Amino acid sequence: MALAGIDLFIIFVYMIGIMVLGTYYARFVDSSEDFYISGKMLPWWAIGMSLVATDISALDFIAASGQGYKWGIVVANFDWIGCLPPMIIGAFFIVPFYWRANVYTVPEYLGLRYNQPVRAIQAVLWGAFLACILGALYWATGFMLVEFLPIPDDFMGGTLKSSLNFMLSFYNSDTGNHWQIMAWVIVIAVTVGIYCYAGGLSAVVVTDVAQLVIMIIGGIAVVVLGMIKVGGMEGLTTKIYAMGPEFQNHFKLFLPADSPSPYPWQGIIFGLAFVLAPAYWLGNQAIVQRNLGAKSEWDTKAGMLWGAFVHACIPILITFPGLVALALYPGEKTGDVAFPRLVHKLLPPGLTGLVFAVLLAALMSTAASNLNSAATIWMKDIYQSFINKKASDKHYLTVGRLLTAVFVLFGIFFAPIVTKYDGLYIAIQSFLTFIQGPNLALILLGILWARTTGWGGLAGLLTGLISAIIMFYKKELIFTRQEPFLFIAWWSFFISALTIIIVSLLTKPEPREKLLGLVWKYADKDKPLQDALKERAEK
Amino acid sequence: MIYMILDFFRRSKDAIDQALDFILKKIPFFQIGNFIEDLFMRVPYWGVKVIITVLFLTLGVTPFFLPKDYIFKGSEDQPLWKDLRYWTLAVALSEVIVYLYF
Repeated sequence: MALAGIDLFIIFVYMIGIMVLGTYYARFVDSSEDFYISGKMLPWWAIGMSLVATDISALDFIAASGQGYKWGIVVANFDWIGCLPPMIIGAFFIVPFYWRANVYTVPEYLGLRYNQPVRAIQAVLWGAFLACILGALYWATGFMLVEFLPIPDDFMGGTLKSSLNFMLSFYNSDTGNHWQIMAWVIVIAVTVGIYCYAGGLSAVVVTDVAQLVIMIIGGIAVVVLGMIKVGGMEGLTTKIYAMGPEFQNHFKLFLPADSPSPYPWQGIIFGLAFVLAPAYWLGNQAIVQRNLGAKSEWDTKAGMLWGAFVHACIPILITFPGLVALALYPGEKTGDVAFPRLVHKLLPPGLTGLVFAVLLAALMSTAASNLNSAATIWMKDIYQSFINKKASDKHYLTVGRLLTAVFVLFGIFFAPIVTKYDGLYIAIQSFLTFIQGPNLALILLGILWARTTGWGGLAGLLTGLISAIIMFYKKELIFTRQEPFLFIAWWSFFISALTIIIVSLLTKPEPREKLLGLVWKYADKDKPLQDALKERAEK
Repeated sequence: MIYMILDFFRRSKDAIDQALDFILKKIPFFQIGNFIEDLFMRVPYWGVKVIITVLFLTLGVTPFFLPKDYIFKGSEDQPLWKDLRYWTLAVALSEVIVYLYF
């Protein structure tokens, strides 16, 4: 798909604008607290918009509309029931406890609530995941961007192609258009890296806000033009229902229990709504880090609820294009072409550039959050906890910036490896299925049940992880479905929670002093805690 | 030396694999799964919608049972627009409408 001059201009202005906006915030970074949690100065509206921007990646626009094309509106559950309930629960019952504990990371909170082994395991798992997912994210999005904006072979006199092919030859991957993908990987990684390095979380959040506005404007343009072309909602439903009996469930949010899709209603409710979604929204460092930087407890709660408001609109932008594409261009072998097809066929020059900027915005906001969170976890939970405990604040700020630069390079050099080995890509993608169940059990029981002990938490984490891995690799012996990830999440959560409860009841309760401010029971009614929180707020 | 270590890991993996296969094949997962699936199949479509509607309404009203001080904690003043209980109710109701429509 060739872009017009006006499209290229819009993309250029967008890239420069975002980088300038992000690096501007470097002037507000004087301490490690400024860098990692914005000096606890973030207002509710920025937190909410940043939460949504972090969640929506460029791949969502392609994959969600593709799944919408194939299975229908049921995919919107991932953005409705998969977001709003956990965000409401998080606003009142989870996130305020992280904020009060004055921690930088979720593993740090779990370390305070349980013990250091739990913190270390969580930190290593999340730290490795956030670093590796960067490479996977860059490569997958670079692959997609090349479809929109291929780079000519003779660009820069052919030097770029030969240089990148030389680099890729070390991976035995110097074939086809891989050098073009690598070029996009480097452009995106360096742009994101510069403003993350300079401005830390503040730069990430403020660019997230700008990027979300661009995503909404561009996404609405695609949907509105598509809906006009298809004849409105009535035309859309009429055309899709007329395609045959297999399309009769395309406008149902719940599919029958025996549906051949990966989304039967029991999987959506028990796997997605009860486990995967809460674990993602309440325990993913890349998500909750902006809540930890809220300027007050009210702002952290309100940010979560405002994010839920905004998120309610997202399926219109990422699922409906799939339905519109189905009505206009049926018969595609794969739904993943739905969104590019709409952009290619419907949008005039200028708007195509805007939508390209939307995809860049979605990618960059997610990548920036992962990059910043990876640096935070590696610095706070690994470097500061186990390697150098007593350095100055400036030292920890410098280490955080260096780690940001290291992860930019790691993402660039790791990206081609991800595509080389299918097993590695699947392992990275499957990681969340392994960790989410036990992670949620740890967080929920840790905050809501004061009787939970450190030993209970450690045992629950390990049994949950092991059971999830066994269920994943032996799924053909356990599940009748081919893609049982929603069910693995549910059962690993169940096993983990059961283990935590049993082991906690068999071990000595934690002393009350250790739990002050960390659990629901000792949050509101405790006078010493109230005094301590008040004193901190007045500082 | 490296070959011996790799061989040890490969043999260990094979042994664990075989042990897991042996144990997992003894457990009637498919029968249990089919029994649970049968139960789910009996729930009518409107029943699922009722479950979801109740879930969202419960979430929407839960903050009204929390202390007002907790809702406003951290806020300098308490105007109506800052009352997060109404924010929650609005979010929950918007979802109820969506799930009843589709």
